[in-house]
Amino acid sequence: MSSRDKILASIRENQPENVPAPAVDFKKITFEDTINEFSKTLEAVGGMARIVPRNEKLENYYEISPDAKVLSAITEIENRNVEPENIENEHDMKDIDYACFDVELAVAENGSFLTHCEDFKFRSVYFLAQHLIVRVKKSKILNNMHEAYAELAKMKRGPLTAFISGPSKTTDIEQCLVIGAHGARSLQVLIVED
Amino acid sequence: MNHPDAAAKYIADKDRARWHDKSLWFVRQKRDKMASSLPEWEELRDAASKIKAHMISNMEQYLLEFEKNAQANGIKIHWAMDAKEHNEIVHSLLKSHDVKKLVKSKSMLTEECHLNPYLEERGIEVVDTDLGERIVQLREERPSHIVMPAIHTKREEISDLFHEKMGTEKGNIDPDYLTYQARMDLRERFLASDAGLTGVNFAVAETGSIVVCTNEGNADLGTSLPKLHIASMGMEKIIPKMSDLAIFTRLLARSATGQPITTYTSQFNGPREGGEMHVVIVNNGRTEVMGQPEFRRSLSCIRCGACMNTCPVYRRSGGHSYSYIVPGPIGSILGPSRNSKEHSSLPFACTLCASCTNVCPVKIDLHDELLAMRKKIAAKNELPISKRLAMKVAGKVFSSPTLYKVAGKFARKALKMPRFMIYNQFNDWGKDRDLPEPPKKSFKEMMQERNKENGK
Ligand code: SF4
Repeated sequence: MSSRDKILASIRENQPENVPAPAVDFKKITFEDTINEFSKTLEAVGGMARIVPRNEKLENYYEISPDAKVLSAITEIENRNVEPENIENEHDMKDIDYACFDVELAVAENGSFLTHCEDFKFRSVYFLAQHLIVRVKKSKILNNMHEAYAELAKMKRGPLTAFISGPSKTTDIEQCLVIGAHGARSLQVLIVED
Repeated sequence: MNHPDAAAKYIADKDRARWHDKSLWFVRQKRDKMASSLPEWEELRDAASKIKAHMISNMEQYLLEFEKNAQANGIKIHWAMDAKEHNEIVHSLLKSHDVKKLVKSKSMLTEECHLNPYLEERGIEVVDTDLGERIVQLREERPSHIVMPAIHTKREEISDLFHEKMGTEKGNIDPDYLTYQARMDLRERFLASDAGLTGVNFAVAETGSIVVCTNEGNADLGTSLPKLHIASMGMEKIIPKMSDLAIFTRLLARSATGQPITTYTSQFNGPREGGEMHVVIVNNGRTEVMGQPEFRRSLSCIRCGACMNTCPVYRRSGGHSYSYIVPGPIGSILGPSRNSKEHSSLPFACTLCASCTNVCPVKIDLHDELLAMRKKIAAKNELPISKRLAMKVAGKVFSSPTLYKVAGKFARKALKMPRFMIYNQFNDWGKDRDLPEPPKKSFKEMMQERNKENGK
């Protein structure tokens, strides 16, 4: 008997009687002003949110240090200076300072955004880049994770879908919060009109 | 070593024990703040607990559904009856891909299986990439906490360790500096790795995906740079639907560290282009736990660590005082339910205060299970020796009304004994705490007097 069959047999032997799945029909938190709540929460987890009014230029709302290597899927980011075609493998992403891309949705209750990690040919850049700049539409800022997963269910999913909440961080040294563990060391979210 | 002896060693350094206690209480308070900010907190816990109970009662069906959907996504599924088989599968995958260097993100399951030494003996370099795990790996220790593996170490020790192993500045204890140095060192290791291994926080039957939660982004790097991704999964990590993730991701980080969600909640739906993805589903004693109704609910654990952060015994005695790899209340059930003899002292490292049960996001009846485990261990005659003697005496006293009366009188007097007689090395209950003022009379004596007054 294969281990698979042994394990399944052992489960059948020990599995208790069916307990029905619960209805998840309680009221979930919503916010009067999801944009404000999102911005507040994002700041609490170490990120920055900027609201870009209609007809305003994007470039007045983000910061990119001079001489930085910028890879951008957002064409309005004029500082971009790395051509995606010139990147040949995942390892080439290691020198990227800024990665900029649009995201599907964001969540007010926890300051996260959702990405399918498919804006560039190689996905390591989402985690190797020193800094991230992302753009999200106002109408795509949802209240909570229930709404977010309901939306995700309707989307086509690639190999990796990630919710990212703020820059990478650790508290492994005496509970001191340090921003920039392995992933991005800063995160700017640009909130734009639809 | 049994828990009381190991704990005594730890508490011998009083400042350290106090510092440890405070650090964890701080995390517990962060959790409380987060929990109280959500009006539906209790409903979330209730739903999480019921989804897990539902999953346990339909585990076969959901595992098969997961297997089918994951395979359709191009993921290869392996089944391991025990730790040994898990290690063999991982090793053979690495070997067939000619892997020399493996980067790992956090996985308590691989600790449970002792994977690292197994691979190292076979010539594979294993690098733990979570900062806390890296610290304990370099110190050649095991994690002392399931979420914060290096919570027992001080920054001075980490500074010395990094100086010795990575050549950082001697005496620089700045956490920013130390973290940055580790980041640079590990980045090179990520880039040089041939394979990445992750744990699994949740496996979704409906979509055949696995979800890995980290704050550092190490699981994502480890699966985006090398071409081979292996995920080690305890079979109880299965959940029915993707919408269930909403409930668990809302509870996990809030309970664990007081964050609204982990920084990265990464759902792997299949191998990346040109890559390979394998999931090893592991039993290793879980079906046995499943077959014991009084301990079954421990399989619902989502490894948030909240029960440790709140536990008065864990906070003071430290994670290394527990003989099982998972410390604290949940480990004191998981350990003895695997091997009651080896871990017989663990369920007694508990005051039955029930604080763990109150914070557990999946509502495991931890303190009830701990009590049930004590009974089981006593019934099997595997009590630790100190308990065996005490139980013998207690058994005699409780079975004789006269002895009980005399003992009560003596106890009330005993609490009034001069301090040196109570607070000495032979009385564990007098260590680091004041014992209560004894009542003047026993309950029985008070009842008798009252009955006399009422003319009964
Ligand atoms: S038993 Fe509950 S509180 Fe403890 S680690 Fe598991 S889920 Fe968290």
